Amino acid sequence: MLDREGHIKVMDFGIACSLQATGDQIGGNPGTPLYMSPEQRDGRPVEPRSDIYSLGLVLYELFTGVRREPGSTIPPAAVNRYLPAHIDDAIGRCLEPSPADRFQSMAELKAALANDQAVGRTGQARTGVTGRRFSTSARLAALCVLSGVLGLIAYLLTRPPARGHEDKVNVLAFSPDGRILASGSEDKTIILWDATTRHRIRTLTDHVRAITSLAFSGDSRWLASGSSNGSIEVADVATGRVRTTLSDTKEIQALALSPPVTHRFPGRAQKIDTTLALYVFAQDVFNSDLPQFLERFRASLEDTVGMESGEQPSQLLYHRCDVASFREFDYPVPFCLQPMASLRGPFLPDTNGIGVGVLDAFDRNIRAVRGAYSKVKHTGPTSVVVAMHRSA
Amino acid sequence: MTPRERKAQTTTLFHEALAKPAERRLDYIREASAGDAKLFDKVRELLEAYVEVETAVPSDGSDDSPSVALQSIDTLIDLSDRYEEIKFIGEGGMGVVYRAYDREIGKIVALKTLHPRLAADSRIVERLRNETRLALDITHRNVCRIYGLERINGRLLIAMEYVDGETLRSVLDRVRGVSVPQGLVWASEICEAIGAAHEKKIVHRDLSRRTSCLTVKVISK
Repeated sequence: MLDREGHIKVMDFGIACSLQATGDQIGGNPGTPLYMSPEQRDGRPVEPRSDIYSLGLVLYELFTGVRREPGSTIPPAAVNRYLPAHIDDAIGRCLEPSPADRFQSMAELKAALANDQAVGRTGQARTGVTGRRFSTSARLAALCVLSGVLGLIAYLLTRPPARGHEDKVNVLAFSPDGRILASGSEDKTIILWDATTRHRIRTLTDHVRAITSLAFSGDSRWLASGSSNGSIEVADVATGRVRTTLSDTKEIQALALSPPVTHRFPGRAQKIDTTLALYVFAQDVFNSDLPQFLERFRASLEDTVGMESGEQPSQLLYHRCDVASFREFDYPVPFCLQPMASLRGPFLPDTNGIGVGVLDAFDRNIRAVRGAYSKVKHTGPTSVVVAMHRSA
Repeated sequence: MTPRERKAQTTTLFHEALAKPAERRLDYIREASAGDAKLFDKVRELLEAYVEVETAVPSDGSDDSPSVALQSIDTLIDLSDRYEEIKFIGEGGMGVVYRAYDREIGKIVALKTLHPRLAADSRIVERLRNETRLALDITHRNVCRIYGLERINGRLLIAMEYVDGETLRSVLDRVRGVSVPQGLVWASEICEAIGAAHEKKIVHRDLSRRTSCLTVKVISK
């Protein structure tokens, strides 16, 4: 196999398990019902939808890092506040006590996780009564925990991290939630790494020239990348799909992407604005195509964030800064730029603050990272020090 | 020397060595094998496997049946025609698990031996056989492949794909949750794997039990 990424193998279809579960009949190991569905535990007929319940418990743990406590009424998004709503919903639906309320097939669940609405919505609609849903199933789960051992059998390990880029690494960026490290390389690819497990998540190969800049949006959902030929792409971090492609005339040296902005309107409820501000640092300040560029950027952002009609972004922010402004640093290019929002305080369209992260140790590690991620020591956005901010 | 004689020789030497104090065993087999390097290696391998199993699964003290380790080793001696480089890798719900090189198919495989206590129960053996038959049908890149069920001198053993990796559980114990995109990649692979089983109608009265034992390994190749 050519594959160098971490992949899943599901083991032991039936083999060890039926024996474990019958252990109580022959005296010895008790069952392992921790991941059992309510119907399994009650000895009622079992079907594919029982697998979906069990998988729901596994996914809960996967995305939150904690096993769902018996008696817990906590939805996964309350444990991991960065969990997108559609994943929270999908896990909740897997864990419905009644099989009829769950997803009806693995394909449906998979589509819902991928937020593929064409397939995901064919199932029945859910009402958002999370608390009740969890308390009912959680009580059932409590029963099963009492009786026992773990359903997931542990085996062995090993694991060097996957191989890195084939050429030098130009830029690195941590997602604001601290969970993903993106690396952009001379080899024209961007690799997304899981900052905790150190597995390579995926490789983005949409650029045709060396990657020169990277920026996550404040909510960690989007990754903007710039290349030496002046192209900028905004990709969905969860799926890796490129949602927006733009081209500038010069090499893109640095990017920063704001989170969606929250506005308050007098006399109206709080409204989440879909504005994303893209800061582009290129080699020259003047760009004759700027109006056109802005228009295309605005249009593609509307697609990107899926705004409904009538909800135009109130403001589009596009800032182009001269890299020369940063020459006071010893570094050739500020490699880590974050909108102020992700570093401190709420991001507002008119503040235009830019944090520039530079740190000696951090820089050393970037040099060390060439070729392999495994040498990176810093694994959190806290490593970034705001050295300067300026009004654009 | 015929293979049968060879096996008898190996078995005898192994049991003789086992009767000696632990620190004297190596010297004993070196002496007894009298320059037969193959025999020496084989018996040493078995002794190492035995010690590993005995450490991991201590004998429960009942005198009427041989210990798990000894039973498993006996099985492996029987299998030594076909398997080599046998290494103990863990104890599962049904018995001891080894990693071994299968000379016939030229591959490293995982061997699950059935706990003697379970092997004595015909209902369990029957169920195991049924489920292995079903699992043989699932060929999916995200499902650990089953090669077959072997019966050696009345003992049962399942040969399956050897996966070099760690379980999702050990990953989660270490890192407390993964990033959303990483989680989505893995979640989607599990969905596909179990979906493939569902397509083969691998859903029947016992699926409940299998599900509870869903074991997931993360591998890097």
